[in-house]
Amino acid sequence: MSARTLPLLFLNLGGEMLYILDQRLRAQSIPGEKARKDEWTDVDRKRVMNDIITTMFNKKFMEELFKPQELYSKKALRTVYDRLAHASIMRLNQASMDKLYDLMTMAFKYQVLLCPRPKDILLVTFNHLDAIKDFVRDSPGILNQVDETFRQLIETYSCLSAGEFQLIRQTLLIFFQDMHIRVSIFLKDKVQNSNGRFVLPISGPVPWGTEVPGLIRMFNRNGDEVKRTEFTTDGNYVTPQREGSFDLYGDRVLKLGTNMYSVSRPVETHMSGSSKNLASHAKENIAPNPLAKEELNFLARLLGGLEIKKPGGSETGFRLNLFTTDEEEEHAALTRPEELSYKVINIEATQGFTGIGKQLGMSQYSPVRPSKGPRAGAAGGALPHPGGAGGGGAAPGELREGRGPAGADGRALSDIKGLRTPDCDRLRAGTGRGRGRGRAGGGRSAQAGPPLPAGGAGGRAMEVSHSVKERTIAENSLVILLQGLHGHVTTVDLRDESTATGRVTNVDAFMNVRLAKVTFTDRQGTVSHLDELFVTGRNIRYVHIPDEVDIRATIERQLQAIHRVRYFGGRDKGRKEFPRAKHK
Amino acid sequence: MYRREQSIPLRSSSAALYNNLSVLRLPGRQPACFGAVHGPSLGLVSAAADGLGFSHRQLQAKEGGMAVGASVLTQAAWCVLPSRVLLVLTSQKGIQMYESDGSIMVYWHALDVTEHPPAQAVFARGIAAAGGRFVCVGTSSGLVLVFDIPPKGTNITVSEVLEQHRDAITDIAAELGQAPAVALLCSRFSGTGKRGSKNLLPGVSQLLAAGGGAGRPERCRGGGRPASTLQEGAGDLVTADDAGTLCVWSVGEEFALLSKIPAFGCACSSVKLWNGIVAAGYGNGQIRLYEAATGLLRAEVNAHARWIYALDLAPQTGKLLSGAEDSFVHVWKLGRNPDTDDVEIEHCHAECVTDTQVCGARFCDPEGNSFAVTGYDLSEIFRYGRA
Repeated sequence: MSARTLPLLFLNLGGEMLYILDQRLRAQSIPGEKARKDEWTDVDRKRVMNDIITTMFNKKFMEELFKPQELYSKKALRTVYDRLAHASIMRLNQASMDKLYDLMTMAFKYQVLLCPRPKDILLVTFNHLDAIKDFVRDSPGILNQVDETFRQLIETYSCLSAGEFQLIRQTLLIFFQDMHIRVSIFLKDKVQNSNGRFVLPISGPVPWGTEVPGLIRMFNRNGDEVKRTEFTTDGNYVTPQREGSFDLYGDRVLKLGTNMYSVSRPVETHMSGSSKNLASHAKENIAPNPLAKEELNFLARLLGGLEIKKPGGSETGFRLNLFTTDEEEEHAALTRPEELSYKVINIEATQGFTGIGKQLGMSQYSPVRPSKGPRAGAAGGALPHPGGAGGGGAAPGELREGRGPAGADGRALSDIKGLRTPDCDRLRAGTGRGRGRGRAGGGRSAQAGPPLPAGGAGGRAMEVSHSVKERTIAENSLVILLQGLHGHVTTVDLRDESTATGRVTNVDAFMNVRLAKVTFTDRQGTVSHLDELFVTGRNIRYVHIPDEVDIRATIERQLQAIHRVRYFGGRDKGRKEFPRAKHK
Repeated sequence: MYRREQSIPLRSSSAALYNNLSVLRLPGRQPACFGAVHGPSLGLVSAAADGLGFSHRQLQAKEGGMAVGASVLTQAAWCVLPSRVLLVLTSQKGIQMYESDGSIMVYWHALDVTEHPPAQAVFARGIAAAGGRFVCVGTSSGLVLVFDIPPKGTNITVSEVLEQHRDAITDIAAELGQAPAVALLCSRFSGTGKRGSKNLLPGVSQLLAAGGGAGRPERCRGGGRPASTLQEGAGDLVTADDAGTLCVWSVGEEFALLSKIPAFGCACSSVKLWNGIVAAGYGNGQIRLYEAATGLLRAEVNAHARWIYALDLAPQTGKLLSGAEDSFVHVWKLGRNPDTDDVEIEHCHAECVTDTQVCGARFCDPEGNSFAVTGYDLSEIFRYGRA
């Protein structure tokens, strides 16, 4: 729906996260001089907050965020927050992270649901930013960063109409639909019912610009009021005092989005375990997500903008517990319903700057549990690990998406392995081809999807296949990217350790690659020159993507080419490529 | 007074979208069909023939061969034409038309995504049948596409594009009362006779006949004006947009703009047209009644405390149903003063659907004796009937 939703979603959830972390850090911190080496102090707390806020409001990251784009799945967003929470020396384990995320999302869902006018979502956001500015009031540099985002928000959103804000709000509500986690602080305040639904008040001030219900006025043809009647309802509304300020500084009036936690009001969730709830979760998992590809791109872009500090050699990293005791935490991890556990995305995208040692790694840290049975099966545990690390000491990264035990359809999900940078991008993705349908598919578990080398594309597009089947495969997998490499000189690494460098003349949907003017190096290092070489898809390990290739643009161009062929002669003319669904 | 009746379970909860409940009213004893949108799918429910139990069906928005991106549905509605009933779905990608039971996709119209600026959301929204053979659908760029529907078959064409709105269309409504459109529709129906009714859902033909027949006396009672004055420029179709602008059109081979009601700074989320009266629900909780022919404001009701999401009208009695985010559903009665011909509205009933942001409300019969309501995050359709 609205392409302007992501910044609001991210900033508000981020704000909620900071509230919770601040409260827990305060609760666990110990006055500086008394603390043992592994205990929290106020200095550590400030450092953690500053680190996370710096990362969150990173300029490059904000630029990515403010680009118009669709909302992605909860899983994708969750990954970003996992990363963000670990931007400093603090570590959260899986159960605590789950809880943190549940609290954040429910708090923001409440705010979106309750905000009087759609436009007031902006005030909620401003409340969060005001509080964040208060967290970093001692660090002018970070304060500046936050103010910069503030200005960007005002610039982007102040010109939108009420209708557009309503669309943003509806998009957010769709995002939060079917989440009914019970939060103790809401239950205590009687703003949430025991079934997880929020209480809607029918009293208090009406939104700014709205009249108190109850009056009917009728006019004659000349526009004069001829009759005035009143009616009564159960609602007990009053006129609002004033409108909140949409400026950089000012009184927001609205209380939604302010910090509701304090040390005396601890953070707790109850899992709503009603069967209906679980059913709807399961349903969501089963539906194939055709956006998976874009989603991974989105993640890669966003995370590329996040700079994560790795704890230095001597520092152990502090662990934060969102539960009262460690036992409770352990228990929560064990009892959490599988569907609610987000142990889904495992990212290990490592950039190849060894000198700087900038690492975007997660699985070294505690939050993401190692693969468990179902996932190993579903996500293709048999995927061959990328061969020996390439030049420049770049460690291979992997961005792997596993699926819940419900066994989502594997077709639409791509696995992208290896984002390397020395001289070529190597990008490898499993198409669903040849892959089992996860566990639910009846034990045909994951034979590794054939390693799908992917390439970038230059200016020349390849002719589109005449076969409907091939077109469909290409359209649904990253083979389309390889097809966009047509005409580029590139290197293909084969599974038998040999490499072929030549001009790509054809790539079919099964990743069979035809090269011209080839320099072929076999695994002993013997070099031979061939006029033409045909490489069977299954023998390919990698296809190097030339640097000049814009991956996104290439995929889009190829999709358009397929589209052109498919709708040749006009959209509603000619024979349809896909026949209408037959009546069952 | 209305009382709560047995509610209908939904397989998936309803999304927070305007007019997110559609009811296919069937005459006689037959139970109605209900539909509510949830993300990329549409939940269809119809009561089983024995009155107990319900049959469910989930309709996924198919992408017509476009494998790129899942799209979220924005609205679904049944369009009852004299010759056939279509289930029309609008989404971010385009417009789909199904047979009334959702079994067969008859037509697919893709929206051109590339011609929009990148930051603008692209979707279709607002569905109405008009003039006996047209289905009108609005888009986010403010266009109203008019589709010409043949009595049978899939040869659906875009016959016209109405370009008057500058903001996203929110809702479209056709004349429900006694207007030229209905007269035409009835004569058409009686002309085609049995041949025409062959393809109909059982009972739809009776419904149409009943609707047209019963509308006439009501008109005489309510308006008291000679029919000829009504025929002139009363308008058959009204379209509303995000800015709050309303356009009244006359339907025919060519659609003609009759009047344009300017915005007053508030989005109009839902609109209805009955006997020459335009009823519009706004984001500030107001319901406004306009004279369709002239665009004059005739009544202004401070109806709800929050954004209105749904309006519906019972054509035979002039009852108006309104549902809003403030969890209230109100029933109103529209009419005309026989002496002064002024538009009148009175409040009949208020119902608080506790802790539910109402996103869809529809009458279940043409007299307005029962209605159905659903809300955001709610996996149920509440039904209310006259006590």
